[in-house]
Amino acid sequence: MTDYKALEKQIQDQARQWLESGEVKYVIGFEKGDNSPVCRPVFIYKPEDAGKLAWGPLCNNNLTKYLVEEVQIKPKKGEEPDLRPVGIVVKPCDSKTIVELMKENIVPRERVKIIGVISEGTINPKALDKALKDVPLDKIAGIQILDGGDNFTIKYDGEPLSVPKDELLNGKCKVCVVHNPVVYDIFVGDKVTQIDKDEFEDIADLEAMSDEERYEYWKEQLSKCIRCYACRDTCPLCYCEECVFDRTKPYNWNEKTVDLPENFFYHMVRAMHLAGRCVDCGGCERVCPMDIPIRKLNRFLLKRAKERFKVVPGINVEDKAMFGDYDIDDPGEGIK
Amino acid sequence: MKIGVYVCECGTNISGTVDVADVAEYAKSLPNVAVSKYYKYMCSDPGQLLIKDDIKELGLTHVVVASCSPRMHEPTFRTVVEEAGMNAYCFEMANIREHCSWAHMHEKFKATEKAKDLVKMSVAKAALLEPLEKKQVPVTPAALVIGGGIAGIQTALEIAESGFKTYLVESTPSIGGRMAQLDKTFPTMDCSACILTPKMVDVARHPNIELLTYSEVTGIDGYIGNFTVTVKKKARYVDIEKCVGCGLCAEACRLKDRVDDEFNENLGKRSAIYVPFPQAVPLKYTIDPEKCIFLKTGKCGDSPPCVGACAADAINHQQEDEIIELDVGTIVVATGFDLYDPSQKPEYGYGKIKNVITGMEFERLVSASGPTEGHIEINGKEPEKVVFIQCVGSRDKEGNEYCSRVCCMYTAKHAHLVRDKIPGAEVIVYNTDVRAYGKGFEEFYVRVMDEGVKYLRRELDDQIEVVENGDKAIVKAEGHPDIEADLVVLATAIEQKKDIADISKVLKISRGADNFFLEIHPKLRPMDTATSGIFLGGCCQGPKDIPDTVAQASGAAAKATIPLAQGKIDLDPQTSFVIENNCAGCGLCVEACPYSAIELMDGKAEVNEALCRGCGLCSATCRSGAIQLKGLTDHQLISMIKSSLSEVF
Repeated sequence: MTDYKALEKQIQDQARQWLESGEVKYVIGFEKGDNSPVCRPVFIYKPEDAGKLAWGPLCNNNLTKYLVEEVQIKPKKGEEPDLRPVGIVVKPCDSKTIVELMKENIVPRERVKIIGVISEGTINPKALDKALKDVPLDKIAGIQILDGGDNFTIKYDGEPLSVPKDELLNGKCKVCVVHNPVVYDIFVGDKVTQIDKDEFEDIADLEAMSDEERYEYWKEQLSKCIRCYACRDTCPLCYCEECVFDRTKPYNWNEKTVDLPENFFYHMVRAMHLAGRCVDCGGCERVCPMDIPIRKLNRFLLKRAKERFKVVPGINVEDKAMFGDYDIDDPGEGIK
Repeated sequence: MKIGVYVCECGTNISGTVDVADVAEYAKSLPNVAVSKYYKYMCSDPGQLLIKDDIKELGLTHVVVASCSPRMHEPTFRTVVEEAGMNAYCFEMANIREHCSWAHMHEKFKATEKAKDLVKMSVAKAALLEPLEKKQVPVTPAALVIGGGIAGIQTALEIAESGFKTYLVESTPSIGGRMAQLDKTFPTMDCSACILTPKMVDVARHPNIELLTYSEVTGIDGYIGNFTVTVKKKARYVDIEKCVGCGLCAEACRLKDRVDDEFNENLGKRSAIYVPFPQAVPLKYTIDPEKCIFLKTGKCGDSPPCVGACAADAINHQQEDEIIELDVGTIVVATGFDLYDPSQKPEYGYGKIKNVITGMEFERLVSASGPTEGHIEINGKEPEKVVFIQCVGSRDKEGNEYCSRVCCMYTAKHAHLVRDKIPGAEVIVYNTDVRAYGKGFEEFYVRVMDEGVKYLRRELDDQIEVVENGDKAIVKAEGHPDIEADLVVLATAIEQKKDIADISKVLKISRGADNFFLEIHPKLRPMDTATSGIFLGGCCQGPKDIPDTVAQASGAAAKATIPLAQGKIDLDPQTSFVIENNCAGCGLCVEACPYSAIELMDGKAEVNEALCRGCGLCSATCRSGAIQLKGLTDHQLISMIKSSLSEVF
């Protein structure tokens, strides 16, 4: 059971200390929303603002996207770049992203100071809305959520609610096996005992389909896509200086048209570009306005990477890139 | 821009299926096409002249030839357009033979439409082709030969004879390899050592050869013409400058006659300080670090007796491995082979029954320099009945599917030697097919049969079992009566070296399904590997007998000498290049590059054009398309795809 308040205090204290000493430029974290219990990203520059930092099961964003933007900013001409590290608050899944970003030479370790927080799962805001359907609207922003083991206890000035975790947790959290941050400067929370297996049960139904059935499934899902590129823009691993989908004629591989073939092309390429890299932080699916189950594609990638290439992304900085590695004794047919 | 399109009939290879006149006519309607023609054989002199004349008269800027695979004639046509004053890289080829007429022989109309599409795509790409300049780099006038068996010896001698410095690296203490272990050679029955040792001595004496025995290649960097090779000279614990090869140390060694002798297939014994065989080159002693008491425990009596025995003061137990670097222009790999271990097939009883030995063990048994001084004996007795079993580990669906090519003949040789040395002996050969295809082989096989050797045929799938019976072994072969034999000799397969993975990693050359190194073309380029400047000699490419090994080794020497003699090499300008603004510096291309041609400099990829072989792996892995291949850029490929999908582009 996680004591969110205790973790929040530790986060605030650490951020305050770093900002006071000036060893970080600023701290990226979460703060309470104005009219919603859902937390939003915040950038804390001054030690006196550290008290704004919040922690709870509604800290959903993967903040490492901002880290990528920080390291990719080019200093203005004649300006000395401020290369001090940036502080960041991460959940275990976000910390896996940092491992990938370090592996790919995007974020140098010395440019970041990590407050790694344990996580036993975050709440899907849409599921929360459902659970709060009987709570008066003006009370919602003020609710307090406590970890009650198998349940979340939702307190507000009324009869407290007890909702089974299974009803509220994000899909990614239900299958997650990494509950402790893998890379951090400060470890916040008590180490969670981890189960070391992922059987990919959540995609078993898709796996069981015939090719034709699966094609029909994706046809239905991907025809919903409006190509807003939110999934790409929120992904910390989509850091290309120029995305292939932003190319203009005559250098473009696909057209901007929103139709099924172009949508398929976009989503397949996006998926392939993340193969062996995606750590299933779930950001893409969280931001999709059309409720496309993008994570299911990512989960396929994770499963194939694990089974066929023995690659589990986001664990070890020393691991080689799946598509960059070449084994002269590859057991695969025809490759030696 | 003026593009010329030339459609080839290839006799009837193309025109038999594709309406070439229609294709040529269609090409005229394509953008930028100034002229379009068809001809019987575009690659013939008149065909080439047709193209050259048009380039000169019409001022063509780009040429498209629609004919066979670029593997076949791209170099031909590149030269043609170059001779007419056009840049060779403004030429594009459409493959309407392998990709079209041959594949769609029974669909003439559709094949013609497809040929038009292929031409359309090539014209679209040609319009975007830019002239590229060839570059030249100087060649280091030296060669490296890896492996000192007969293949390596032959190669080294021939390159050295051509006047180039040659480094011969051998991992064991002496050159000679497998051939040094053989007694006689089929079919002429020459003494193996008698024909080999003079060549070994030639190697040692040759002013152009630097011999590095007991050494291993641990790293190769660079590219054809400019390789840097790292060699580990393993510590011999003997100063080879001082050692005179007298052998007093081995006499004095506390482990004299107590260490298994690998040269004699462990049938004999040696000391911990040893030369592998009396004619070893160099005749310098080596201490076996796995066995030497002093090296293992730091103590050998009051002082090691070898040190006391050595009048030349050559022994140095403190010697350490030495790493050296060599600069060479070309490399020949002649790492040889290992033999199949028959204990993997328990039915033969090898390793359990004393009477069962391998062909190579028989070689040592019958050799005058072997542990029995050439006297064939088993359990201290001369055998009266000898059974040879062929195809052990070869032609095996579960193991090595290939035929090892030498076993039929060496078994015939062994059978002959038994009859020769033990006149009354009964000799039976269990064979499947006798493959006597070489010069003088069939005659030799007939001669051996005439000498009274009994050949019994058995199918490969038929069961066979060898069981022990007192001091004899019973061979039970399906379909044949059991034979009680004094000696059973297994003709074991030739296999790739067991430690090949280590060598492969250093060489970065590929292996085939049979685990042997892969030549680039099995018929026309049998000595070339996919890495230019690295060639194959002898059995590392596949099983061979001595004549074939020597022939291939000579071929590899000739191949390796060509760049050295030319002094410089043209680099293919179709290399990759980086669009710096788009590069995020993730380094995936660096990891993907098999030639170590890409480096990250200040967070951006940078290509070394001399190292780049234009394989395109980098551009295939780059997510943002920031690294591109000249002559196959995204823009060029996209224009091909788009043109194929639309009537207009």
